Amino acid sequence: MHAPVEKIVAPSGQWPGGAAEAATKIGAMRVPKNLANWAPMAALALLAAGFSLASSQFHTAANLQAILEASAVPLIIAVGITFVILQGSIDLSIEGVTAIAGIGLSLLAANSSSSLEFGWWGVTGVLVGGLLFGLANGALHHLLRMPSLIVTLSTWFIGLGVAALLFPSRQPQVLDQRLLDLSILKIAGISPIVYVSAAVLTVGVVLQGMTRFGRLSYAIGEDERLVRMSGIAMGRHKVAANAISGFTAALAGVFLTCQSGVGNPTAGQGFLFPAISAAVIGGTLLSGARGGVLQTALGVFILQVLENGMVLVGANPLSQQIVEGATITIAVAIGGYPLIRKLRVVK
Amino acid sequence: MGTYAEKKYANFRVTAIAAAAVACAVGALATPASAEKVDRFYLGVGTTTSEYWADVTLGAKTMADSVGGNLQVIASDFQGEKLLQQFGAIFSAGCAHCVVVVDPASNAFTKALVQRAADANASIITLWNRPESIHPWDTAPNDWVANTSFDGVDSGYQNGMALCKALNGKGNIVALGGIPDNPPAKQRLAGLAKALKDCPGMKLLDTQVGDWDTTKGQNLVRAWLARYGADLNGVFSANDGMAVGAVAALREKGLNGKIPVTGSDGSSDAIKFVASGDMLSTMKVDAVGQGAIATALAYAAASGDIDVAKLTHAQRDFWLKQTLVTKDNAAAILAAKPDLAEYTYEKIKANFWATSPGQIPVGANK
Repeated sequence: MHAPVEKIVAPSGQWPGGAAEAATKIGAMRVPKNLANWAPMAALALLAAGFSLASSQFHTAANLQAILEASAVPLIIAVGITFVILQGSIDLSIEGVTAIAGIGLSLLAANSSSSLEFGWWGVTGVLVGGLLFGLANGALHHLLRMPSLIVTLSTWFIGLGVAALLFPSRQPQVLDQRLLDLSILKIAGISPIVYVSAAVLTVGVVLQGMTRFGRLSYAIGEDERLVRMSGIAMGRHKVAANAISGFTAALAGVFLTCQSGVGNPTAGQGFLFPAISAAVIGGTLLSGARGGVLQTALGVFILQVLENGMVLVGANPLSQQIVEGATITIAVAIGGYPLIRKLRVVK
Repeated sequence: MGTYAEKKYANFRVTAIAAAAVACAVGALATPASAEKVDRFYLGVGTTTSEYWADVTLGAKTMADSVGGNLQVIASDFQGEKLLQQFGAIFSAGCAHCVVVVDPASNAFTKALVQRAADANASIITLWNRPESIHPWDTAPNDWVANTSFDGVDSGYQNGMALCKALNGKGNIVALGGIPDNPPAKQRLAGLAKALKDCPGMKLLDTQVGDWDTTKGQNLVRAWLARYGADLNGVFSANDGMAVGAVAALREKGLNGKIPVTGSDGSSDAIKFVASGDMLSTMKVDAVGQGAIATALAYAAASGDIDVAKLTHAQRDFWLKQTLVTKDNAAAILAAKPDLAEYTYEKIKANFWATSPGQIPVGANK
């Protein structure tokens, strides 16, 4: 019983080597990963080319900056949730965490509503809060064996409720200039928020490919039962994935607050499903074990380029959602094409 | 009214119903002031986490307190189905001496909500959402006391004209619209269209849907800046949330205060932006007044202080006061605290319609 375990977790090389490779074999569903991995890239290139032809402004430096700025917060959220999805779970609570972090920071840093002035400690506070929120999600999911969908659905509402309770009757304005500068200051034309999102992506790539946690996340997503029967203590990895997701959601809340300059208890609204869509478009399957943070990042950029390009070409705003939905379908269809003959069951 | 109802029902319905209807009408006419003890007050709000709704709640609570009532707040989170369920539970046991003031979340739920209130004999006043085809007097004449709203066309027009003035009558603007199928969203854009007609030098380059959302507004304005560059001279936003996002996007380019932005609602963050010059104008709705006046009028109907049947159409479907906020009055408006003594029942009762600019015209809710 013990020998194959060692083989599964042996850090024998880069992803998808080691655990993922072995786990994939167990799943008896090898994917010719080239096409699956390149499809989102091709989709992004195609979109960019199309919009460049349709609009002369698309390719300008100013517009690329606009796309990067708009992608930063969705990217941070999506990187976090990718680890949860890789393990075959889901985290629906991110909007709740983002809401608490947003309103929390606007009350902890210098603001127009409370007399507190914690500055960077306020940021640290809400980030730790997000981490703990995620830890709680993971613990409930793992220790009580509750489905992640149910756990995070309830904590989503709890998060929104707490944010509503924190909301004073006047919208708190952030007065701490250092926080506002995060979105205003430009380094090489790009705000610090974008650099942080790039750093988050980098850390995500490292976590995913170079740590035991990353490799085991694939194995858990592939076949959790097998991992458990192998005697691997996987609880901490499941909790860790949720904690990461909670942390990134809180970070997103911090940046949304810095960008708008006001504490908004609904700040995170509308970020959950785009984050999940981004992961799926990029090739991360909701069933887990496939894809990764880089693919998710591609998905984020595809969605943002689409949104940006539609404005540039002056598309009818009412038709935008239709095009977005169609793009998701097409991207997933192309990405999943090589799987068609191998997938016997799709749910 | 009594005889009309009598004839109509006698012809078409069973006599028993006619008798009941007449008894009802006669009863309403004959009821002396404050004969009924009204002590249940329900306020259905869109969300508890917005300044506007906090103000509406403050007004309603102040009014309810002044007659010894207890206000219960119900949040729909803008979901009509949820609202129907919640009020269904309240109405199920009957609600004859209840005051209900509610935003039905969207036009689709107004009729269902009003009918349920009428079945329970509650006195109901709706906020914002009335479909064009139904009115209090033709749908539930005795129970749907009134509908109140704020004139979105007027808001769009005044903000649009403020833009026109700021641009000296000449320039290119873009518009951030709210959720498409929503009366205020449509009205505010219609008001802008009217302003564009009166200001031929101002050109609308593009309109996009920002769903009332700050981040969406910010992303759209970023994209517009990339698309139009120096050709973009002004931003019209259908609400303050998106306007705040627009200011954030402009601030990234150091253009805040240089490209005028208008909003609507009058939230304190937007008014502060108007005061600081980051925004040009916004329309402040009298939210505290709305909560207090609607609650007072419904209370007057439920307690028999007024006879609903005797009210005119203009008294049952009316706009409430709103004020254009510009740099001239922003500081004063920010400093002003609502005088809660003005929102007691005794004060409002003197004239429920004192601050109303008038009846909601035909076609406003199309």
